[in-house]
Amino acid sequence: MQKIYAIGIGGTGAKCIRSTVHLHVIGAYGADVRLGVLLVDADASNGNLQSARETVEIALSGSSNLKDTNTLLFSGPIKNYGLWNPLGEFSDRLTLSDIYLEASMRATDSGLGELFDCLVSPEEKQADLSVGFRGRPSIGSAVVGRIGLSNSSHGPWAELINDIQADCANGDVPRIHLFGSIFGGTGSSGLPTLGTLLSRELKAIRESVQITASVLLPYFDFDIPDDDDIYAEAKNFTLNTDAALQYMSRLAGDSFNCVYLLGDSVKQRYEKPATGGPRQNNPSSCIELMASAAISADVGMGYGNGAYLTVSDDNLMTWEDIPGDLTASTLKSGLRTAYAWYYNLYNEIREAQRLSSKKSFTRGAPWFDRFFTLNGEGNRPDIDCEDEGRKIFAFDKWVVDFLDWFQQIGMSGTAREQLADIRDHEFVNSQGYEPDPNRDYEESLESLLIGQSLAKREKWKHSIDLLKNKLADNKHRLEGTIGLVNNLFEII
Amino acid sequence: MKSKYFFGGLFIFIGIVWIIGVTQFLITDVYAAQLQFPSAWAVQVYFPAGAISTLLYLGFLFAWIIYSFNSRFRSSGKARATITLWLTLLGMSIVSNIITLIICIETITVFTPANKNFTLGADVLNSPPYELLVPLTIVNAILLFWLPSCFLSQRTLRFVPPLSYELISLSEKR
Repeated sequence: MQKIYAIGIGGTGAKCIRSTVHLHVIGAYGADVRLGVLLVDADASNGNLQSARETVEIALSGSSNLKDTNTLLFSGPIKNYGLWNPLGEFSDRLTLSDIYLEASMRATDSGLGELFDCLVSPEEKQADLSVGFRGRPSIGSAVVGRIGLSNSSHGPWAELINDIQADCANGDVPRIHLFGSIFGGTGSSGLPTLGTLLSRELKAIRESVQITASVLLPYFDFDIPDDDDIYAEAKNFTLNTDAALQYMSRLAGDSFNCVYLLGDSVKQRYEKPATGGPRQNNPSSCIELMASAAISADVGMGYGNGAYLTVSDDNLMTWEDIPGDLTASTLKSGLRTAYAWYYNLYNEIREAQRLSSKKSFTRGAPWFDRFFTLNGEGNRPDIDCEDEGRKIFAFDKWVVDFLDWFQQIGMSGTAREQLADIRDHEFVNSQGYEPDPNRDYEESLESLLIGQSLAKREKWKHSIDLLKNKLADNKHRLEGTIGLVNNLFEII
Repeated sequence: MKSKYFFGGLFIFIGIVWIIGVTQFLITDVYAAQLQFPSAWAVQVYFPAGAISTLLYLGFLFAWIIYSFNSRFRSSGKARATITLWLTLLGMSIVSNIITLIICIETITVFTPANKNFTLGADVLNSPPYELLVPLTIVNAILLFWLPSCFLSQRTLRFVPPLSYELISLSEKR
């Protein structure tokens, strides 16, 4: 089994983790892969971080409810290492001035105080860091630079490093992949530093561990946030990037086996930006999807190690642009499965639960008795039982999160929607056991994927009705909700 | 070949044998119809009526099969609602069977070898056996429409005809 440890640093890192978890759930990294996830952010209330944590929890719930080793969907285990806050040990000190004990530093050595004045502006010294490093590398590097190796002996790092060492002892070659932007606060300061720290910490087994990173260059733009006086400034992104890349190249480059740089010449513009806090919840982008797909690339080969990966159109991403052997195909299957579930199967299942006679429901749904028992007859799962209810709920939650994420990816192109035509949809979790009136029944998947057509003999796959008939025609090894969704994913 | 297609074909065959052969036998040799020339009437009046009715039943049956093959349904509810169409086709097939019988009986000219006369089908009877033939249209419909449709309905509509789920479950373990 391949072991991947994904570490998302800062807001962009968290967004990449969201993409990574979704790709892992649909099997884009292969069928026999375990994913460990660690988030690093000083701003625990950051909206993007919250979204990523929610996605991890949803995937964990889906994995525990719907996992089967012989299928691709939810097949790979996920381990959540939680959130690590670089400011954790300074929890009582929320400004840079406090962290560096400025008053005492000046009293001890006035030269150090003056150097501190040179490197950090008065506003940055007094900025409240409870919402993170405010897109300022000078703040981030000043804090993250103080992280010592002692930090890795407790909290999530200890568990992560223990697991990596155990993997190596078992003969595996685990891969640690870091995600972060290089132009903001947390990512630009945290990614090179953490990569270096990890490399040092794993020195004894370094040859057996691959450390890679997806480094995101400026790919979005925004107006000046209206929420504070110390904020991330898009105009500094290029300067920040230049400095951070020089630092990585000179001082941290040797720590990584391979670094993937990703950017976009046409920047996505974020409306209503916020510097940290719950309001910083920017939509997902196709660049993050590409960054997550980098995990599937062999280290030092393919599109890494000096090779360039470009897209065919400046303003749009197409399915052919997505790297990785399985990424695009599993994404398509995942999207079609999620869409068919959301707009058809979910309400069908709720309809079946509403009818007391399951046999009468089967008259219009011949697939139903292949997966569920009719009125308690046979060994198949009862759709009304608590266990199936939990599975239905878990899968539906993942579907809504996945479709919401993919909708944001689809709308991140600067010209028009890309990859999938779901721009006008609103994906919301349903409550209760009744059919959701807001989910209109759909029958056709033909226009879902942009720029994709099926071979003539596979045209039937455009029809959800015919897909359901395919499910009805055969017996399946897996039954119940897990059998239904996995078999649909396989044939779709 | 799947067993359901075998059973569907078998019931069509039984239906044809029933409507053409068995019913004709009932008219000539079993049922005490008030017929002057039972054999001539059966051959010249009932046989064409039975043949046309058989074709009509098969026409309605294949119309249903083709409809079930080509239709796509967004939801199981919409598929279940097609029972109305199935019942309509069943009713139409029975009514068309009765109308065919009446038209043939009332209009076909029968050659009767005993008196060498030509006469209308109705005239060679003291009382045409409607009391036998009309109820038998139900049996005809069961054999030539209902039962075959239970086995031959396609895709989402495969279980819409009444008892189709039970019958298919007998022939194929689900």
